[in-house]
Amino acid sequence: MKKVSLFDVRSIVGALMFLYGVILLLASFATSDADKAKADGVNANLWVGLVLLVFGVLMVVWAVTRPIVVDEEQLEADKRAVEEAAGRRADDEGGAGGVG
Amino acid sequence: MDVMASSILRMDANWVDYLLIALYFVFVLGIGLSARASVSSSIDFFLSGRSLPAWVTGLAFISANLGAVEIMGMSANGAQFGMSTFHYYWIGAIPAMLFLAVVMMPFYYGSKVRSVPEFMLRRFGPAAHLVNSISFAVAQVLIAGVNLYLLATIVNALLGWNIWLSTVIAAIIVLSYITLGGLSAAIYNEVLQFFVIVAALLPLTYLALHKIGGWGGLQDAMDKAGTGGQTKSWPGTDLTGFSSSFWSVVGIVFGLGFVLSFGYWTTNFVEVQRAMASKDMNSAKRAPIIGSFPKMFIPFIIIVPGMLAAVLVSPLAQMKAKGADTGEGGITYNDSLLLLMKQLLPNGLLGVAIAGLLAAFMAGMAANISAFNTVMSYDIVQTYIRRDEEDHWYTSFGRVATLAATILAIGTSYFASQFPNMMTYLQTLFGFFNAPLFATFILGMFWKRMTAAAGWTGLVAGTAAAVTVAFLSEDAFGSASTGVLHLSGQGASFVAAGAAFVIDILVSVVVTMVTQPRVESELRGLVYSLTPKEDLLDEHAGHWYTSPTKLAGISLVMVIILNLLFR
Repeated sequence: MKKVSLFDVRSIVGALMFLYGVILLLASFATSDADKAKADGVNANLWVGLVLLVFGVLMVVWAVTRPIVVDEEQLEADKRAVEEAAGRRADDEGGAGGVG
Repeated sequence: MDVMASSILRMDANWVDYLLIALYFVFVLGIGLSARASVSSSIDFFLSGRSLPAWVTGLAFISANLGAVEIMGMSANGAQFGMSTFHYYWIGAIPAMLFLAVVMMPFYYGSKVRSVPEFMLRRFGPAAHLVNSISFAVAQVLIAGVNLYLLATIVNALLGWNIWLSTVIAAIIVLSYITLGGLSAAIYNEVLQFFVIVAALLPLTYLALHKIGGWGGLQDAMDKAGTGGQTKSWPGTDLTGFSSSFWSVVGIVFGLGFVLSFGYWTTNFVEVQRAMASKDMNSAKRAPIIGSFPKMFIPFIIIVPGMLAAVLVSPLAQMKAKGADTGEGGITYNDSLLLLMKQLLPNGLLGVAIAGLLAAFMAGMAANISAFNTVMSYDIVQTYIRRDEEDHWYTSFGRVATLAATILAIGTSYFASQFPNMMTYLQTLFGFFNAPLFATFILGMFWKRMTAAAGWTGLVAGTAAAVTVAFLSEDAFGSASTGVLHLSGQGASFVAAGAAFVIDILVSVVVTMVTQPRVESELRGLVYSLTPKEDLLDEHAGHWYTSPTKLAGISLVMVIILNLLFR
């Protein structure tokens, strides 16, 4: 059985970057002249905010259009193999294995 | 650092910054909780990670290493030594990552061991395993101290509390972070952290370059400050502290490029583990190679801001002109990035930068503590001291070990605070722990006769050699060094690592000659000549970008071009 993984790092990264973008954009309207002068008059919050917003949207779009498919049978087989190896190691060492 | 420093470093964070920092923690906790809900065990987690595309494993591979220590240490190095710090990436990381991918990975992945100490156990037996486990545990506590100290520096800059109160608070935060299960989602957090750090450092570098008038402006400003030579990466005499250009190049290529970096990248538990989470041999080999491409360009947003800080931030520039280790208000090179952030970033972007740094230090220290915990509970106590306890005995021992490690880290953070340049301290530590390990590994992998006794005696002798060199140098151990040898700066740690490597090899060879080798059938898959050749070959790759050897070749050519451009 194959199923789509909801726990996708791209949506997580995308969501955080998007929210950061929104907050920075809002903050850019309130950025004081003193703050702008720090960076030679560049309104850094505005530009970085825009870039992060677009980047965040692109990451989420990528995650939605090309989802990760988990092959559950393969996963089960892999898991058994690792557990067997761990068991074998534990026997070799007189029950001293099992580092999770 | 004293009270004065806290006022000069004090960030004027406002509620927008705190909102951004809080949002980051909501995400980290969210990842931890959903990882707990969707996976039932750590085996589950690692294997579900195996369905991830290669770019995620590749990114996780370098972000595990792109900790706060690297960010602060490398920018401090950039501020103090300039372009020659790039050697840590172009000479000191890329070749070793490619070597790990193409030469070492078949052994790790093929022999199905799950950790580096486990490889030692199977190749050399209990004595070498015990030595390796103890030295690994000690190294983790010392490095945790570095992370804790840097974390406390940020808390201090943010809230203005004194550095000792900040250290204790920071330790408590990390303890709760570990208990809340942030670690079970380590790979995801690392990838997230990578993007937050880039989102903060890329604009910081741009703004600083804009302010000074671009790369040409930086060169002019450094010429004017009398440090124009630092815009060239070779021969790096400032970095090594060697007066001869020839020996400086030898020190960088052999000490840093070969012993230290191969030792670090090929035997580092955390790094290797990332690559081993791949779904097959081909992906395991490709993970370090894919990671090598961003790794080449990251120094431009870490080292270059450090160099810019040394020109733009006037207390730092004055301190550098005087050749002093501490400047106005007790600042050191370690504070370069914080000072630059304070000077350039508006509220908002400042919050993003602080969130990224906080995240990186916490993750770094949490990883050290949990690695210490694992090795202490299973590799040392369960294997050698109390074999037959119930499972829950080890679990509660683990909790005590976590608490003990955190308290020890508060102590080791004091050592760390004594070093004006964190990178010097760290490289000294790597010389003690990684350089001998690498020598034993490489000899054990290619020389089937090497005996179990040679395994542990080599490690002990190598570490002893590095410690001796550090004590005899001028400053590798801070004030504890005696100054008998005229070595200082990072040159001392390169020599210490070189000594560890050479002594380890010599002792191993001599001991092997007088002891009994192991039976060959026990070494299958662990030694090159006893491993089936088909395990070592590339599988037939459909595209050039799925062939590890071709990708590694491209990476190597690119790094050579970068070296020529900035020589």
